[in-house]
Amino acid sequence: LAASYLFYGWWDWRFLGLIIASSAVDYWCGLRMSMVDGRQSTADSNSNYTKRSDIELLKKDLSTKRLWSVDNGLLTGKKLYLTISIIFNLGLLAFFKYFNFFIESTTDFINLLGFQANIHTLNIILPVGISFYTFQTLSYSIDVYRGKLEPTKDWVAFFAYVSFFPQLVAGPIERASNLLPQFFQKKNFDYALAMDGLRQILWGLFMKVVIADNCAVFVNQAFTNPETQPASNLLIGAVFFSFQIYGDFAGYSNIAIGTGKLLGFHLMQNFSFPYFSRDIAEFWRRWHISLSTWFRDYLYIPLGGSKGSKILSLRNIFIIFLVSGFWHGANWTFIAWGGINALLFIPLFWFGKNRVNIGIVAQNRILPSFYELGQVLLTFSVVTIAWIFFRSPSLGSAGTYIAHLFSSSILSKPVMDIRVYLFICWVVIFVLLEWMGRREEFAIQKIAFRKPALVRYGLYYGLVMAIFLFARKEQEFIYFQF
Amino acid sequence: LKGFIAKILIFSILPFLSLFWIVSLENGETDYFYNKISSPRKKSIIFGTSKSEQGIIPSILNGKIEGSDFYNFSFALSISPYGKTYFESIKDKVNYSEPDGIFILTIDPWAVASFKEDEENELIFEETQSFLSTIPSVTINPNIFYLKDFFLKPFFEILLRKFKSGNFVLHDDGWLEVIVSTEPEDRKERVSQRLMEYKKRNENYILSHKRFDYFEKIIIELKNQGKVFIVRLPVEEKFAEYESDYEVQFNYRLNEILVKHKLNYLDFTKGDLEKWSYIDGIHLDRNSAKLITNELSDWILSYH
Repeated sequence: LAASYLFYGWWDWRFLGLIIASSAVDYWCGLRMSMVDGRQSTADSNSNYTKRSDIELLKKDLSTKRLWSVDNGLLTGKKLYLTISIIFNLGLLAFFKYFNFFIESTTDFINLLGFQANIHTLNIILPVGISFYTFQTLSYSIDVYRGKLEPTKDWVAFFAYVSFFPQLVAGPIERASNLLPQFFQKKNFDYALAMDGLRQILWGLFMKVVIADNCAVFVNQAFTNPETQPASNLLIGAVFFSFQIYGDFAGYSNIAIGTGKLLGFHLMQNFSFPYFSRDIAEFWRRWHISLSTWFRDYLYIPLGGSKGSKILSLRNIFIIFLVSGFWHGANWTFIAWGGINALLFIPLFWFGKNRVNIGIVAQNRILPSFYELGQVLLTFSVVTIAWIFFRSPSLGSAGTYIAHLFSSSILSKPVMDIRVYLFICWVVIFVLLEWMGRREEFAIQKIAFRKPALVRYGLYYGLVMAIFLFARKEQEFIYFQF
Repeated sequence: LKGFIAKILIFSILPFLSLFWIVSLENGETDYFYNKISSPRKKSIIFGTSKSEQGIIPSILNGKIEGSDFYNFSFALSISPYGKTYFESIKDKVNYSEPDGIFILTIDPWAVASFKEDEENELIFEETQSFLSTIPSVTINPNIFYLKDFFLKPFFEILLRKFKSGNFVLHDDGWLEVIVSTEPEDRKERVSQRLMEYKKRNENYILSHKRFDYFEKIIIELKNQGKVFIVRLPVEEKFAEYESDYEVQFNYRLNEILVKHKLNYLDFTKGDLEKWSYIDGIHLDRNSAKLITNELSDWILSYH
């Protein structure tokens, strides 16, 4: 816990109060919910009373204990604490992340109606990782509310669970049912697990430092005044951004999971080779898994999931994609990105094809079939177009980018630094390594395991040298801003 | 656990050795300053900002002044104006075991100016944000402190330079040769950009007594080691106009120091400014750098 708080405080100690408050609220809510549960079970087991009198007794008892009351014959105590948790956590997010967005959007809307509005925004610093740890604590409260999880009385373990430093600032968004019990287990050094963790960290660093940060140079060029550049530049920019965002985010997740392994913790897999997906539904099962499953379990299913009519299901799909987009940032571009992904997903859902491609592509083969290759390339293409909205500063500039991308100059020679060809080679090498290791948790987990040690260590040496040689100065992770 | 740590340590040796070998290939075409802060202590040194870094060629001085071993330890205005940071680096760079050195200190109003609001507050001097105030030594090789945080480009560029030349060369003697387009249009654009910078600087900067004090401290420090010469390099006419705003106060304070320490001063701004060619109005091009260094050598020889 101390290490995690030191880690977070290093960025800005003032925001430690926020994470402590978030942890404290959910810790308290969890305990209160369990107490309400305890009262309820005591009352249920008391056969001397009728159901009505039972509730009256509880009502009295609970109100004297200042827990909560009984309303219309139904216990609402647990719901109250869940509500407190939700309001507090989403309130934090709303204020720190979305306050200015709502103010600006309201102002724009009022002005659009012909009225004059000039509402001032606030200069708010977005606390690093707030979207991640608030979701993590929320999932705890919801699971306790649902009775899926016993609340913990060990506040040190709970606070450590919320602030566990490897995944604190950019995920994976852990579930209490997976991570919390691991704080109670005695940790013995596990050589094989630690080595696996090191390999994962190495791969994560490679993805971030060599792939993401170097692609970023050309992405930044392409997305600055796209209307002045040939389409070939924009094509490289868009494709490189797909690799930048993947290398950046999946790279961080690998570093986090690997660090967890070094400490004897198993964190959930967050990415599973998403760019080898054969359709958009498969892509979303492989991309940012901890967030997708969070929305599935705590939003999509409570909304009714796919149980109701097709129209209701479509509504639910739209809601989770739009909310997912909005989660990434307070900008219409993220909402548009979510909406585009919903539109790509809906046809598959409508025709019942959204669960066709479950296993990894070419599971028992070295190469994919031409059909599979076409599917993978098509999925990558539509995902890349959607990413343009994610990367652009506004909807207008995303539109400009796409309009100029599809022009005749797409076949012209790119007007970019000669180094672009070097990084195209790196991206190709990266894709090949990912392909070779696609059946594992991360690409180099078992690559070259059956080869002589010299080959294996040669690969690790090559990756370390690539990291040393291609590292750029102070490149922050994109997902730190979410 | 011990075996695990041992394995990591053993494995780490080869990549680090390889990295240091690659860094040793740096021939001054990848980073403006690395060789300056990783070369050993020097007997005779040229100090100043980028005008001096590009304008004075030590090898010419060495060729003309017998027994000298000049090194150009000038950096840039944001790194090496006269102040505590530069003073400490200078003390680290001077080879105190070799007496009778020759030291050339170049000066202009900008090298002794600071932010208008609080020009005497050395805590906010701009060089306090630079590598020179951060790295603990300017004489170790490899300088891992610089490599870790300040090396200008990714290290692969060092290997790339073996196949493709860059647009500058930091020579072994510390002279920075900048290779730019000689097209009039390109030059015009560089000059207009520099003018904008000068205008901004002129609005926000003022001469600092504190900086003059450090300039004097450096002179006292170096006089114990050999001879000190003070030089002011030329700039194009329109840039000289900006500098003239400070002229009276600057000359007065400088003159006080020159008289007090009995120093020789060569002011190239008093001569024909259009006699020299500049790449951007303030930095001499390589031909003029050669010419001016020759004149400088003759001048020093007349006192030597």
